[in-house]
Amino acid sequence: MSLSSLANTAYQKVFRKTSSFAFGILLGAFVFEIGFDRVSNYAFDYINRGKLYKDVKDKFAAGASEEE
Amino acid sequence: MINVPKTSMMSAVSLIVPNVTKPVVKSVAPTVGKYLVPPAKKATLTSYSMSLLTGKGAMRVTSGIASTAQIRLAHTDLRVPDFSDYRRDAVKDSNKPTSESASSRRAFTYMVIGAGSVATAYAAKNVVTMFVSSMSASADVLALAKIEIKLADIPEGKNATFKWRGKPLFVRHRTAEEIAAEQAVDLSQLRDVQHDNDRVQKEEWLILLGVCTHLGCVPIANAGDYGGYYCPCHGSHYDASGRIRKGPAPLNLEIPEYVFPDEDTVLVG
Repeated sequence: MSLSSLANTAYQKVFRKTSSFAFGILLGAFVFEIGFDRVSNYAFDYINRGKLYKDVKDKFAAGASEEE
Repeated sequence: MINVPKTSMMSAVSLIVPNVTKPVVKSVAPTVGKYLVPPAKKATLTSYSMSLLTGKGAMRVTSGIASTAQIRLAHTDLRVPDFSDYRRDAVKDSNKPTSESASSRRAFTYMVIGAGSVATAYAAKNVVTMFVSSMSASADVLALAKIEIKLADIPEGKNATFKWRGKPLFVRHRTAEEIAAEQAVDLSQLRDVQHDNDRVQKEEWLILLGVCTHLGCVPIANAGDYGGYYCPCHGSHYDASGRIRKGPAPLNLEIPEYVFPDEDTVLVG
């Protein structure tokens, strides 16, 4: 019943008016962007771990300071 | 209003419905003198004259012993297909009222639409961002457009020349006398009126583009009548603030955008 009342509240507050529905979509897009970008960046880093510049940065930074 | 075709057939039919007709001919024939005159037949040449003869108002159906108005449709023996695969779980039980689950079903539908819209908005935003950012300069181009100069390498009274965006860039370390002289210049003497303070950020450092405003030659530093720059091509004299003082050039030497990130460096561009 709480799920039903929650759904009812969501309908009354957000979905019922087109303006509030569109606003909710916009707000949701911002939140979704943050989460989705974070997850996809994490996945990219995980798949390419050991190959990225930030992983080998220490090696090169040490070599560069020796050359100078 | 039923569209009744205006034919003689129709008017004949309408006669047997007693409610809506008027007689085609008057029942009492007029008499002229002692003779019985048949009524003059009206010519039905137009739709108006015909409409006077035909029935008026809505068609009515009469029912009775003799007439059968009932139509029996064969529906009791038709088998209704089972749509339960397509129904939501909440409405599968036909004995349960659907109003109980209405709000949750409705919210679910809107949620699906909303989630799709959110994903679409995110994708659209990224497409727009991609196209817009492709118009701006890339990082390597931006890096080439700047030059960082160590000021400690330029002694006082000297003018150093650098290449910046394909043009010569003058960095002049001015002496105290030069600064005092340029500050004291009477502005009414100038062709392109600009005070020295408007041309420098720090008084001892004058940074300008070494391109003569006349025809674009590179002026010679520490030369000319005013001790600043002298253009050998057509003899334009600039002072130690880069302002035009004598010769054909119309404008002062151009000042690029620059900042001092710290005491010892200047970043031009």
